[in-house]
Amino acid sequence: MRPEFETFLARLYTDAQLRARFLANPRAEAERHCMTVEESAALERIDRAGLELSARSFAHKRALKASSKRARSWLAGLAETVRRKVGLYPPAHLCWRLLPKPVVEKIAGPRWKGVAHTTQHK
Amino acid sequence: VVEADVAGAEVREDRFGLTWQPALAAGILAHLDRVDVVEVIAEEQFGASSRAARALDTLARHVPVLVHGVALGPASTAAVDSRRLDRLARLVDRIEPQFWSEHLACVRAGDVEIGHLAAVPRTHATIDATAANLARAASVVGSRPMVENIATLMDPPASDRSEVEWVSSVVASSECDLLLDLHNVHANSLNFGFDPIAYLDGLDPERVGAIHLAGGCWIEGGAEDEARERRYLDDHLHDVPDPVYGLLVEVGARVRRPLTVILERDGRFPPMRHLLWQLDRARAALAEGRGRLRAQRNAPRHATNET
Repeated sequence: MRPEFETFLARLYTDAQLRARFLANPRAEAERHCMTVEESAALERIDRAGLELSARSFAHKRALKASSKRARSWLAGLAETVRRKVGLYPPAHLCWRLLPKPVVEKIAGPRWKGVAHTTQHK
Repeated sequence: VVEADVAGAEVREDRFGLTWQPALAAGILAHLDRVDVVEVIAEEQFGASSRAARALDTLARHVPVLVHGVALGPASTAAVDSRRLDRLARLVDRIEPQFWSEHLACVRAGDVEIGHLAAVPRTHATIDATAANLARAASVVGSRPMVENIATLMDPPASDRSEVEWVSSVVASSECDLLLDLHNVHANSLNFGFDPIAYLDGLDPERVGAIHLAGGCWIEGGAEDEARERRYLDDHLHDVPDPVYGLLVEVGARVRRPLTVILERDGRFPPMRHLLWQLDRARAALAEGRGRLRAQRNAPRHATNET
């Protein structure tokens, strides 16, 4: 298997527009991305429902990671700013109150009253 | 769990534990009499605060720790990222886990980050490339990882062999031991219609060193304007289903070496007592399998004595 085939699969997982074009005409899209005859034939036989469900699952994971990363950096920045201004860190609960609820749910899990459990998984 | 093997002088030391989660920290630390080992996700420790790092160091002094990677992506024709390997090596140096592990998955290709664990086409080329990546990882980190079979919602295109054949070949080529995720076997058997017992029979039992248990749920979807299909998702948010305990019995009846069994739970956390109950079920299942193994090994001896 060529690295180009692996990269094309990764693009199918992550690029909704490419995936829609591909599912409408697999051979044409495979040829447009310079897949070999054997690779194009394998792509024509792809598990279409599995591809869509995989793409959905991967998108969910990327969104979770991105929101967690943004929240952590934002929270760290806020804490650092307050520390510089007043010489101490704000109480954690103030930081949590300033964050959107989905982000708090992602980070805090069940430790906080009224917060649904985290959904991060491997 | 220490269990004398009546068929020989060896002593089995199966261990049972949980994946470390901040939400479970208090529960785990309060029940170290029932949690033999804790699995730490490597990527959650990269870039952690000094306070979190100290907490992990303290944890590692009180309970055996395993390091589990989720983002190296050794199952790829591309070389694994050197920076990720270096960070992993530093973490392993620092907390000295009993072993470290990674998934037999691709997580990026070219300039594309998939974001999670994707199956690669199961071919001779990907076996060789994966073994090469694992060898490089072992040389940088200083020890071979255990490698884990993954759950997938799609049979990878261009594959020329079954999943178990591919996994077995990677294990043989890389000389890495297998972290056998029984829920992933269960999920894939439901999604692709194979017999999970035949899957276990296709593995070299001498290479199975650890077990993952988890839960999942059915999801539904499909391409636009096409019939919707159901697939079983390994989500780590549900209890371990009964068939997975059944597979653990079968593993216990096949694998002679001590096993480390980890219950993975990443969210929708039940009370700690419920997780401990699931660990107890796992202990009972593995003990049942060990009992079958002992009976099999003793049977010829009894027959000889009678004659």
